[in-house]
Amino acid sequence: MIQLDGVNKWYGQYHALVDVSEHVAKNEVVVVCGPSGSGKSTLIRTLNRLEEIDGGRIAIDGRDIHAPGIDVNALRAGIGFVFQHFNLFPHLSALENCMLAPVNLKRASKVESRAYAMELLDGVGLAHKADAYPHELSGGQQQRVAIARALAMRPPVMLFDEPTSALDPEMVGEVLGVMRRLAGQGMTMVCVTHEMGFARDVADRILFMSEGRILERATPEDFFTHPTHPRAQQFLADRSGR
Amino acid sequence: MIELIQDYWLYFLVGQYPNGPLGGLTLTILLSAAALVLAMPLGLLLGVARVSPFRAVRWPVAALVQVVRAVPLLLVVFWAYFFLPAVTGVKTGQATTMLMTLVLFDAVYLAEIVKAGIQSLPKGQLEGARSLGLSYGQALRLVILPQALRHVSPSLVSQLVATIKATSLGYIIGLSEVSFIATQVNTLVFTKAVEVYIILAATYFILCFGLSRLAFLLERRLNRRSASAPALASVAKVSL
Amino acid sequence: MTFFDANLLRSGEYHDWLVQGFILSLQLLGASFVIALPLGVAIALMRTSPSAPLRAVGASLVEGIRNVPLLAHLLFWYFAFPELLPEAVKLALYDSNPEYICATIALSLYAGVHMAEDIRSGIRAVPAAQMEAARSLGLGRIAALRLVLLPQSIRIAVPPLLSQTVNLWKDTSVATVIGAAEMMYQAARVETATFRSVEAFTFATLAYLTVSLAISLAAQLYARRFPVRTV
Repeated sequence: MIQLDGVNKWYGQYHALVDVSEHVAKNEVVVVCGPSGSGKSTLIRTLNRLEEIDGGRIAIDGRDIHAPGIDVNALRAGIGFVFQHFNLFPHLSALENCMLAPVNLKRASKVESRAYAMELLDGVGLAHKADAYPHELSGGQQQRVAIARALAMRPPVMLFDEPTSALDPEMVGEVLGVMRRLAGQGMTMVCVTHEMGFARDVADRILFMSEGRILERATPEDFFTHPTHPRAQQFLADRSGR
Repeated sequence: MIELIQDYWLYFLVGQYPNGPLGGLTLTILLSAAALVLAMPLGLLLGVARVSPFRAVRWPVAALVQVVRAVPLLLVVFWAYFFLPAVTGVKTGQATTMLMTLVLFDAVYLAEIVKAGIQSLPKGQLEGARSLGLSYGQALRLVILPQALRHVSPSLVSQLVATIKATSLGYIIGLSEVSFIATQVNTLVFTKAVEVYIILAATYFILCFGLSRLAFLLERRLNRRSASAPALASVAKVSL
Repeated sequence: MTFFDANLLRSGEYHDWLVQGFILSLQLLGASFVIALPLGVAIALMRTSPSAPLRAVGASLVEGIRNVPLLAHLLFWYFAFPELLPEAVKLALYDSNPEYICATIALSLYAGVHMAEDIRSGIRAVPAAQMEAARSLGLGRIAALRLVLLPQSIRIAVPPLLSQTVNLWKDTSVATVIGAAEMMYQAARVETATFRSVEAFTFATLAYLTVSLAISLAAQLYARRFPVRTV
């Protein structure tokens, strides 16, 4: 589904991504974790070309996403992206947020888009807030709408960039619940997150990153019980407060 | 003063109309409104160009804006009124000349207003739109500009006030706007200069101050709206 | 007939007219600025004073002057104001240089209130805690203003004030309406005499551009040399 080969990226002198290679299979749920500045957000943002790479190759569904002549907008329409700060459009209602892309990219008629958007909002528990505007919603509700908005394009893969990091603790659960359900339905997901509970329960694989490199790849069970790389051990020890 | 108003209020309001071209206060207001409306598309275009990621687009527009703002508006009026006809062979009337000049003047200031509005939005808005697959143009049209223009509506009203004041320069090329009419009245009556010019000042004051209050109320309403939105942690601003 | 006769600008009668106009414009700028700035400080202090009547007077001055175009101000001061003067003063005015004097009054007031608003923003930008600290040291209100508040406010206000100075420079052009023989008046005079607008208006354009850019450059240099420092 997603294939990375020798991906490199620099910010000026700073080597942000160092020879990253990885494969994510269909229906897999992969969690990327690591200390701040490890490059996890940068990595996930290269997958839909919100960030550009300086070397290497990224392929989604077998197609090189940097091939000359490729339509970046079409690429992005086929990938669902959920931001840390939600980025809902404040001048549109929750329903209109979800309908904007399908209608304007001619994926569906207004009637079909509305019906599907309502279905998705219902799926995240917010059908009753369809006509509410973002400023009338709590952080957790906004993020759930953001997930519905990303799903409205019917993407085969969903990317999550620290979806719960900007939320008050009591709202984290409702968003993770939605993500768990998505995973249960077989969605291919790559999540950058600090929520280790979610990672342990839902992830098929965990990637640990530090300083631009993937240092460890393991199943949740292996990762949490006996991490091999010393940096990963340090990370887990710090998080559990020794 | 009362007799003055009684005798000349119509002249003050519409100039020589219908026995001549429209003038007076009505001309002032119509000219200002028309200039602002006509300048919007140009101002939008220039504003978007000002934040363009392409240097070849950004720089010439920035240069144009800087030059137009460094030079008195009256000089632009003179260029348009005296020089342009010599080059194009078309002698434009005073009203048309003022309209053209005001459209340019407004477009340049509107460009700055639009640019500020776009840049005041969080960076995530553009990213959110593009990550859904919308093109740059669609993102601008559907997400960025609707928000940006709403945010700057008080500045748009302020620009209308500035335009109304700028129409007074038409006096110098003989346009029968309200200041010109006032001086005509003064010449006719001759002994009531103070009253005439106080009435002129009061007219402008009521119009411009009224509109400024509107801008102030708009701003207050906007601040109330955004204050109720949940506060986000450090949010990077749009640089497009 | 050449398109652009540069000789017109380099010497001769028309050249002299244009240069005289430029000089008068600069004189108007100088005289008005010298009156406007202190006036602006005074009005800004009025608007931020604890005394409500003073605040009301300040606000009325600003709104009353700001919402009337400069051209209307010039017409008032030139045609209406002299009528209010006692006969002797009025004659003295007409004997001297009424166009220049009335233009300076109008420009000073107009620029003064705009500067007052920028200075007021500068005052408001300084945290209230600064005045509290000054007063708690025992400084009286005037001393605290002079030694603590105003120096900080002015530093913040300098860039917008320089921008207002550019506006004042451009506004001197409107004085032509009452017959002040500044740049625009002379440029129009040359155009009427020679039917050549290009040279005269190019001269005027360059004159305005260079001074505007010089003032803007001064603003940038000032901002670099005296950056605003907050705690």
